[in-house]
Amino acid sequence: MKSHVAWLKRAGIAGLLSIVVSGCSDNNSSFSISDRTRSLIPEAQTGVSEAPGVVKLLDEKFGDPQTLKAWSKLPVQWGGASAKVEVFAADGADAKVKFVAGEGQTFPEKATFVNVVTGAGAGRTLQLSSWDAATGEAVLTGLGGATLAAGDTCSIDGGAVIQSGRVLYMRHCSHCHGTAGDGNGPTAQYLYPRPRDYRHGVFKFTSTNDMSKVSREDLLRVLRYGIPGTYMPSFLLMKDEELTAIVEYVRFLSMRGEFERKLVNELASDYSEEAVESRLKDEQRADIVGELAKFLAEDVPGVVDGIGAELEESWVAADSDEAKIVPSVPRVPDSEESRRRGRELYLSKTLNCADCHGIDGAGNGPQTVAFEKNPITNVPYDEPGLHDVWDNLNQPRNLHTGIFRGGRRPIDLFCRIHAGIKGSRMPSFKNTPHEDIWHIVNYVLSIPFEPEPGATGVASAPAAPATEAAAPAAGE
Amino acid sequence: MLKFRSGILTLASGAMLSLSVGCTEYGQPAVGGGASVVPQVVFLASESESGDAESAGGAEATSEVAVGSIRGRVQIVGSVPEMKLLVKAGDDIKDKEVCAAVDVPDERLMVSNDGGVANVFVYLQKAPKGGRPVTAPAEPFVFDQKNCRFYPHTVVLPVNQTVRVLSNDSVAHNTHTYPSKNNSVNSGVAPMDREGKLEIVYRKAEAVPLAVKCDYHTWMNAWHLPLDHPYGAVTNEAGDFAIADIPAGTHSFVVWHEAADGNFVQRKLAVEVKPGEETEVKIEYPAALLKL
Repeated sequence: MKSHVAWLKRAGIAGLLSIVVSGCSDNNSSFSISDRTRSLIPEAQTGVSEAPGVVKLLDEKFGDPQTLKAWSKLPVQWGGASAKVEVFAADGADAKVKFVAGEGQTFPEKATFVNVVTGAGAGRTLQLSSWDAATGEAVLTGLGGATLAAGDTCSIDGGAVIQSGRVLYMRHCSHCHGTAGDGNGPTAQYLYPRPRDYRHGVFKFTSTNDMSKVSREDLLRVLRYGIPGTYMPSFLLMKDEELTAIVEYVRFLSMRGEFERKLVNELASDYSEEAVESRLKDEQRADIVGELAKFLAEDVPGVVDGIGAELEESWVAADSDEAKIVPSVPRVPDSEESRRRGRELYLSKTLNCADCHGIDGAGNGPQTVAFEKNPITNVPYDEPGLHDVWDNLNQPRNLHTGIFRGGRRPIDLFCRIHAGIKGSRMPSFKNTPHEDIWHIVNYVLSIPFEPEPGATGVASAPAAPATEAAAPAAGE
Repeated sequence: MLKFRSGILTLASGAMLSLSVGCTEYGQPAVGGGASVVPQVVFLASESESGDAESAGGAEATSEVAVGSIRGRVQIVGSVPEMKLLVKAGDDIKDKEVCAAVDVPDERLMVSNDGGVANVFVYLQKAPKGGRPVTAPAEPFVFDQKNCRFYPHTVVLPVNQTVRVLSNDSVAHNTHTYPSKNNSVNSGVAPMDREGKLEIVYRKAEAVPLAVKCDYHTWMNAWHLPLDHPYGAVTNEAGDFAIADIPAGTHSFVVWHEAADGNFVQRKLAVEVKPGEETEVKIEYPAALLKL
């Protein structure tokens, strides 16, 4: 008993000590590096001499959760406004400055500081002692030798949105989606379906056409209403500005993941461990590394800018009107006739929805028992059925449950059929006449209300006399 | 017993203390790091410091460059495995009235009678200096399917070339592409679509050919290679290929085949192109390299 107590005391003190000693300085979190990056030779990950590798470039462009990098190229609302210096007049330790708002930017009403993005003062944060949002005129104070020149880019009161997005994301999202948005937070392994891994830049449920990315509005909708039938809850009780901040942070993480992915794509075919191993048959490792060093130093800066431009283009386009799916005809009114036509199309050779979703819509079509190969690696999957780009088993929806993950409004189902479900095997049927898509929507919405096969509805049951009904049974 | 209690008390007070000194996960910001700390934001300029980094693959048309051409053949060396048909006419498979109407060969390895290997990609990964820019023909490239087989099985395409997807089958297909630099396409193709409502355009060059699949008929497979220069070819049924007007000098060609282990028959095939001449290139494809 005594030794027990002593042990407990010791454990208590040791526990206390360890908490006091370790403090909180180890709590810094980091963005994970993808397995694909890890499949590269170490030199490609970390860089060769001065030339940075993938990990260094990721840090350079995106930072870590404690220090986020706001790469102006990316279409993320960082908060505040980006602006260019028009006039700069130093006056002792202060300076009078006139700013012009960047394209599509509006000055914040109140502003207290300026981040200098380009020019001689790049990287500095300067305080504003006065600010006029109407004219863009400001007084900068405590310059400490910093000078600005006309044409320099600055960010006025920037960063608040992405900061708040990061804090909220870590609180509400990261335990499933992971710090880096890799869909691998601590709880992820217990969930089916798995939480989305943002790093492909692919989101399943969008109102944008098949070739476009997810729009801000789509992400906001998922945050507000959750994804029925999954663990993704609704965050409807959060404030609008909190939700929009999370959307921006999720977009930031997606772009970070895509950046990593695209960069690895440039390197993988020549500098993955596997590739180098096969190259060693007729090349020397030192030569391969030398060639890599040259590639990293000479070509990669251009590649990085190119990837930035692609990210900018595709994510901006996702919010454009052209990307939005707009049915060319209004919804065909729901009717017996329309549902019948929808069912005909569902079973037709033209669309063959039944191939995956099953003849009766139970999500059990022949394709769900077929063994597939991973289309990239050509390795057969362990279990039969359809797989998505995240390599998760992704069975077609059972349409009887009335639970539609992307939303149950008719327009939601229209979009699912029109654009397909991105990342999954569900293809786009954009070339199907819109009227026909509406018929299928009407049919699909009616499936949950179909009677079970063999069941007779209560109302329609024949009111046969009990004696007569019992007679044949007795006779058997 | 009393002592035992005090032990628990020590533990409990330790826990309390740790809370008060501590790493507040949520609520107030913790000192030194953690999830709830407001991060710093560092603003970066839009373009990298070097600014005018030359654009990738910038093959500029220079008028006076001596050119030559290559002509060659990919020849299998060693014992060629007997390839079974992928689908035999009359096989009891899905959509058999269409997909098993005729024999469909296993196109992963097509060897001619004298050992020439078809469907091998021979190309330069990057545009050479002084090379011609590639221009996409105005006419779309026709990519067809019949008896649940894609036609052609392999093709090199200039970037920005429109690919029109047709179907000559009375069953539904979808065309699902798996590129690494372009956007993936996954779209249904209606039966007997002879007009080609689905169009695919590759905006970027790929480093290796990309797989094209149909999810209704998972055995269907084709390979597309979009390039931003004209120096790539696929071997024909006899295993022959030719690439014209290559700037003179030594170039390193990629030789890629779907059935080769790791897909590369040669990662770097050095070929010297002599001005005004046609260089003969014999490529040996060791049968030991096959992975079927």
